[in-house]
Amino acid sequence: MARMAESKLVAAAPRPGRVAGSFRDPSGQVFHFQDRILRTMDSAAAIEFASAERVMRQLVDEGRLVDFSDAEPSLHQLFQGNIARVLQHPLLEQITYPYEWSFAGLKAAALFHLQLQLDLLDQGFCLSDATAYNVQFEGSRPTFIDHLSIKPYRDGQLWYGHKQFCEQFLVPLLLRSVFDITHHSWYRGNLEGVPSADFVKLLSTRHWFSHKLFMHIILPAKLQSSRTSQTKVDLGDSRARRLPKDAFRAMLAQLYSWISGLKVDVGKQSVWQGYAANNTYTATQRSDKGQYVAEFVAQHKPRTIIDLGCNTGDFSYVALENGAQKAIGFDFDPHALDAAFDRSVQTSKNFLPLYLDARNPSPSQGWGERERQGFSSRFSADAVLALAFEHHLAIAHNVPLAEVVAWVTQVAPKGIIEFVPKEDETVRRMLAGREDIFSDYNEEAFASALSQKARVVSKHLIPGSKRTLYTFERSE
Amino acid sequence: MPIIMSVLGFLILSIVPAHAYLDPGTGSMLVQGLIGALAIGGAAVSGYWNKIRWAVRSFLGRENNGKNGGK
Repeated sequence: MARMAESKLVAAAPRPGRVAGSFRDPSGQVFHFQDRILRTMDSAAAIEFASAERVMRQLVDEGRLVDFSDAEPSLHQLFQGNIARVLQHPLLEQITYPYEWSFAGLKAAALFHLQLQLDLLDQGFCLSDATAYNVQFEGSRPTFIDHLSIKPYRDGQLWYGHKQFCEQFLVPLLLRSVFDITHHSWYRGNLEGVPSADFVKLLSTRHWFSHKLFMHIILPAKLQSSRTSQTKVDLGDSRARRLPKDAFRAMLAQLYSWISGLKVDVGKQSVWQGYAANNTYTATQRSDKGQYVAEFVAQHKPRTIIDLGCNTGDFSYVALENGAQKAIGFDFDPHALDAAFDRSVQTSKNFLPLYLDARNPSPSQGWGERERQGFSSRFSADAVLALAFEHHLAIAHNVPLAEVVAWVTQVAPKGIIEFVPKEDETVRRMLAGREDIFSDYNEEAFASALSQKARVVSKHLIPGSKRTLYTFERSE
Repeated sequence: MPIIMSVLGFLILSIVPAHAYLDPGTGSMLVQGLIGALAIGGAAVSGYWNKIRWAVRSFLGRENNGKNGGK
């Protein structure tokens, strides 16, 4: 009786929606259902899963794998086909993509993946692929989300994920460490990382003498035609070839040590890192601003914060220290982001800095233009900080002031926006070499635009400057 | 380069895995086959290498003994 009532409830519930990015593996997919994620498995996948379950449980306890449990049997009826087992997982609060991670974040994810492989290998398991999208972050702590890619290791099998690892982790990192080109644009455009074959075209002859570059990137790329899986070399007879376990482990360890040592040239300190140290604020002004943010957080108690133009995260930390639980920072300066990520690792706070060019936020893309969701679909918070931010869009990049204000107020229902007037030194510098076409850029216009979108709760002129902080709250 | 090509020409791909929705890249697999061959070969190579080192050392040692009057 109770079971019938329960299954009626289940039947009446909205159908689970398959997560748009989960379609490549026919043996199991992932669905968003109510407040959980459901994962289906066919019979073959279920058998392999059962053999790895003990190891996976241990990884969950270590915080390296998202928790899992069996879904109620009545949920099986929601799915068609050969479904042998259905798992449920807690919904991750935030999904982020490798093309949004800083260099430091991508490096941390790569090392995490390799360490996971090494530890799994010791227990007789391996990962069936090496996609960077299977790593997610909680603050700066990486975690693994694809339970079905943990498979039994067959002695001597080749590392089938090697090419994918190189293209989704290694090459984007090398693009930065070798050429000081950030990976964001290329990765976002290509979705599946940066192809080794393309990267090889950038290399000069001297790079061929690096045995690591040669073995992992140059040689495999040269042996393979760019458009298909066909090799350029006639393969001769087909005795099976093995990669002994020790050699596999050595490959993983070599990549780990290589990637650990990858650095970005910080010789020319970026504009923004210098900014954090000696910017147009005095120490008093900075602490005044911090005080205002602290009071805002203490009063409105947002659990989650988005910090636009976070630099190294100063004001995100103010929020976290005054009651906020989670902060996501956005900036487009790669050096600031790396410093922010390292800071997050050092302090173990739930602060994740990500790359964002606010003029060009990531759209929904991939298969069906839905596989990877866009910025506005994935990022929202209880409160938004847009400090020393709006003038970079409104002046530096000519976005109409009213539209900038509208965009910021869509990110969260309440927050603080700092208005930076033309008299301010930074804006003066921005206008120095160009014609001042911004006749409507002034505080009245800003305040008016803000009032169209939200209620202005309070404002505060930063002493000794002409900048004003506006607290807004959307009424809805 | 042609030498490497012909050497690798004799190396093979392993059996294709059962759930290979992932394209592993045949270039990568060939290189792993090479790594595997070198790894297996490595044990045999190091045996010869030790012999070579012993031979060189004893040859140099005899030279020194002759010159320094045996030390």
